[in-house]
Amino acid sequence: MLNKLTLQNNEKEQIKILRECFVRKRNELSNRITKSLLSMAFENRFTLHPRRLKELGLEETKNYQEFLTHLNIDKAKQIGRGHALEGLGVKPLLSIGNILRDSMICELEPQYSTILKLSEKLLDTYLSSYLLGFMTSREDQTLKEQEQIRKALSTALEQQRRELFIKNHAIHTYVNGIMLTNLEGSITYVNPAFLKMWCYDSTEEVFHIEIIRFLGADFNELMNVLKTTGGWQNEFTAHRRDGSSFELNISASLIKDDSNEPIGVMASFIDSTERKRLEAQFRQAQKMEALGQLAGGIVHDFNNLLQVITGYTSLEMMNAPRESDRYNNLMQIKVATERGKGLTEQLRFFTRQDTGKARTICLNDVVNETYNLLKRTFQPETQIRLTLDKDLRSVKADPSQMSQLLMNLCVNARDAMIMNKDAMKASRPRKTEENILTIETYNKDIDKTLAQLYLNAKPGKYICVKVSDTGIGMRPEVIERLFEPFFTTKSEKSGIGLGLAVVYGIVRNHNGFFDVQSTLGEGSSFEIFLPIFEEPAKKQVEEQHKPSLTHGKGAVLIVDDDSQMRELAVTTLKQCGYHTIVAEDGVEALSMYKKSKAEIDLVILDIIMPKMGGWECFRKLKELDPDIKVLIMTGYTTDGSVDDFLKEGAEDVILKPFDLETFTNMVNRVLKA
Amino acid sequence: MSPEDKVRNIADASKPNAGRIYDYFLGGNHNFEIDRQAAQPVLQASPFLPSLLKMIRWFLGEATRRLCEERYTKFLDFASGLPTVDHIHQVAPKGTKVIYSDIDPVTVAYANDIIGNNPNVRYVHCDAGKPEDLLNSGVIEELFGKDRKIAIGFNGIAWFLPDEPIDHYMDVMYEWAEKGSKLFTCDANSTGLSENAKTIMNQYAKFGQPFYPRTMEKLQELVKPWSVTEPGFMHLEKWMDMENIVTQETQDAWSWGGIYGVFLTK
Ligand SMILES: Nc1ncnc2c1ncn2[C@@H]1O[C@H](COP(=O)(O)OP(=O)(O)OP(=O)(O)O)[C@@H](O)[C@H]1O
Ligand SMILES: C[S@+](CC[C@H](N)C(=O)[O-])C[C@H]1O[C@@H](n2cnc3c(N)ncnc32)[C@H](O)[C@@H]1O
Ligand SMILES: [Mg+2]
Repeated sequence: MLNKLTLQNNEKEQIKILRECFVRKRNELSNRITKSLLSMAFENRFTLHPRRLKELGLEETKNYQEFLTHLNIDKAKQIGRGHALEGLGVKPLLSIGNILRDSMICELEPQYSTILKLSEKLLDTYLSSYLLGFMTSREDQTLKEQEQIRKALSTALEQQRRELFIKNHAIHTYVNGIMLTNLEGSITYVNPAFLKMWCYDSTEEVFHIEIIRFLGADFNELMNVLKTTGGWQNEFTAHRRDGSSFELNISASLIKDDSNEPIGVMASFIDSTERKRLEAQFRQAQKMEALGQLAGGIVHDFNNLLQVITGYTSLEMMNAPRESDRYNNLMQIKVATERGKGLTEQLRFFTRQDTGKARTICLNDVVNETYNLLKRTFQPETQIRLTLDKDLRSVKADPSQMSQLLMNLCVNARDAMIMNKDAMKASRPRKTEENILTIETYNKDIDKTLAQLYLNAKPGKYICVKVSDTGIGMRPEVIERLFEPFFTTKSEKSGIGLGLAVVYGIVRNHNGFFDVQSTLGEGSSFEIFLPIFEEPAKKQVEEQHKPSLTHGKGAVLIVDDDSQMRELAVTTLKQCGYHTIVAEDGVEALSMYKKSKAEIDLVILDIIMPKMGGWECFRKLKELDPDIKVLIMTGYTTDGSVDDFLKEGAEDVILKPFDLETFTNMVNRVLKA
Repeated sequence: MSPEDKVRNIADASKPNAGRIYDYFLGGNHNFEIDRQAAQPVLQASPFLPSLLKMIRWFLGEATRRLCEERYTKFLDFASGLPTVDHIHQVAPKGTKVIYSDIDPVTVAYANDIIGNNPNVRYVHCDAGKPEDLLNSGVIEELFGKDRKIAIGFNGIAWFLPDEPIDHYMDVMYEWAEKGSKLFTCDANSTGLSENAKTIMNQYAKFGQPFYPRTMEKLQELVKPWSVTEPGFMHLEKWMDMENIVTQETQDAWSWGGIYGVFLTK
């Protein structure tokens, strides 16, 4: 291991002289070095403090003296390394060497000429080792510091890479469609949401399609707008690959590089079909709200007016002889007024703010009841399917309102299917031959996202009842106005346009909401959402309640022009063990009674009927058989006229709408009496 | 700027960065070619700049030496930069306790690397404009105990801060420190600053570090309630007995009042 300089024999003597010489020069040398170093203070690194320079001059001479003693090369290197670490600059370092050289060689006095060669050799060895140490250390230091910053760079790059990945991933999984293009309008990227929205399987397919198809506009046009305003938007009805259409909302902006130069375009695609539908629903709801208020006012005033008209009409009728023209005319007025009252009553449903006699019920029960009432009124070839969730949760609702709601929906469905059949005859294309009415019930949880899809919906737990038909379907214009009172597409006879207005009022009063879907020529579905009521339905009470239809014996003639009403009465009474016969109006009733007087125990008589009204029929029946038992059934009456009937000998009067329990009770009581 | 952005900025080799240019002026190796390029016009216009910056750094060493002689054994330093061989804990006698701080998370991370597990030294993150963040953190009590007679460094940072945070800093530190504590700082005297110099500063500001030049009178006002110790505000060369008068050069070139240092006390 060569770490010490070896000397020849003659040199061993000379070195003693050299050391002596050096000691004599030491102070002067030290001062010269210090002065030089101080004058070059700024040539050092910032780490070398000027105060340190004053110490360095002395240190340097000590170092060289030590070298002259031990000839340790490694030590010389170490000194160089130390200076580099401290921050000594190359210039000051060389100046130290120069001063040493000057003083130990050039300025060497003549008496030391013998040691000149040795001095040169030692100085060379010392300075080269010293410099070597200095340089390697400087290199190390530079490399180390550069390594540090490189590390920081790679950390930052890694971070950027990760960020890029996240951004990429975000675009890739974004719910809206994203398209990137270059400035020439060639598509460079689309995300999976875009592919799905347009029904494409792969990105490559999209690349081959003219961009105008996706933008609904010319690319140059878009660029012009972007350059001036920075943003571009478009809305149009777009067509997917499979030909189906959807409402599209696009917004595009320029992608710019660091120096703010545009390098491409990014366009975001939103399917706004759903939003548009909601907007339409919202407009409709606002309209309904306004109509509701208006109707509320009208109903009140109108009722008063009707009250006055009936009042005076009744007074006048008392003064008019029966059978006179005047009496009959007044009767017509009265009948019309009663109908007016019926209408206002329905309207009140639409405007009413309460839930009626709400109690905890299971809607399945209502569906079943309504189903039993309805099934006969449908054409025999119509299939009715009930899909009822056994675990349906309870709601707090007025059962009669619920029944009314279902009835209205089902009657509409029936009408729509009859119309479709007629339409089919006129050979309109249609998918199914068969008419199917479906009533479904199920539980549905509405979360925040779902709630946004329906108007007036709040997140929460709901039960749904959905009535779907395979009927004629509806045009968008019809759907828009569907729930307006008096909106109807049916002939004046068959519809007045209150059915769905009533449904609307009932649903709103029960804090529910609904959804309507319809395809022209294929059918419609009405989905009603009602908030659940947590307390379990009191099944037991219900069960005690339900079978309490009073059974009895006897034959009953039912006279009503409304086929539904007839059906209702027939079904109910048959269930309770009665025999039933029906008549559609007063004339028919009279002739039937004449024919089978002996078999008929009771007549249930509607009042307002075409041909011969209930009043006339009642009096004629009484003439035929003074002991005849007649039960008056009416929806259009005032307290006054109930008394009239009773005075005239009717057994009792039952007011529509009635619950079946009351009805059967009454029939039973009247027959037994 | 968020800490993440800072990390990215300091290591982003695609854009010149003020911190790395500063390092280059000082003669460090924490810079890239792009920084050296960006530094050239500034260097050409003001060749004395590296010397000026070195002096500012040396004033830190000067202050440390002087305060150690006055037997201060606890140092609390703000905007410290990297604790290289010349920083407080390397210059001060063994056993001196030092808490460094800096706003730049990269610097904080490197610095902790350099310090290793020296039990007398801490390096934490702190904005010099909000010293309370550091004062309220546990590190003070942990290293200094209850002692609040402290030597405080606020070197080479004043011109990087607007007046308001400096005012705030001085108030908070005064409130916190015990009587007899000392604070050293330096600042540039902007009186008469030439348009040319302002252009150079604006150039540097573009790389991410704005300057807030102010007059000496203004700083005198801001350091209150600290009192100025003798001999008061002095050019940095004077503090270090240096012959090479950089201040004179800068005064000729920028026609300002040069850079001065001061020791304050409570
Ligand atoms: N299931 C359905 N299929 C097709 N169209 C329907 C359906 N339900 C309702 N409609 C349309 O909505 C209109 C309004 O319905 P709504 O029940 O309010 O009144 P209506 O049935 O015409 O008369 P009303 O129910 O008062 O006798 C109907 O005239 C019909 O055009
Ligand atoms: C030139 S300054 C002072 C450095 C050191 N104190 C000295 O005297 O040489 C450089 C350091 O200040 C830091 N710095 C800049 N603004 C700061 C602030 N508002 N608070 C704390 N440190 C800051 C930078 O991150 C950088 O490390
Ligand atoms: Mg209807």
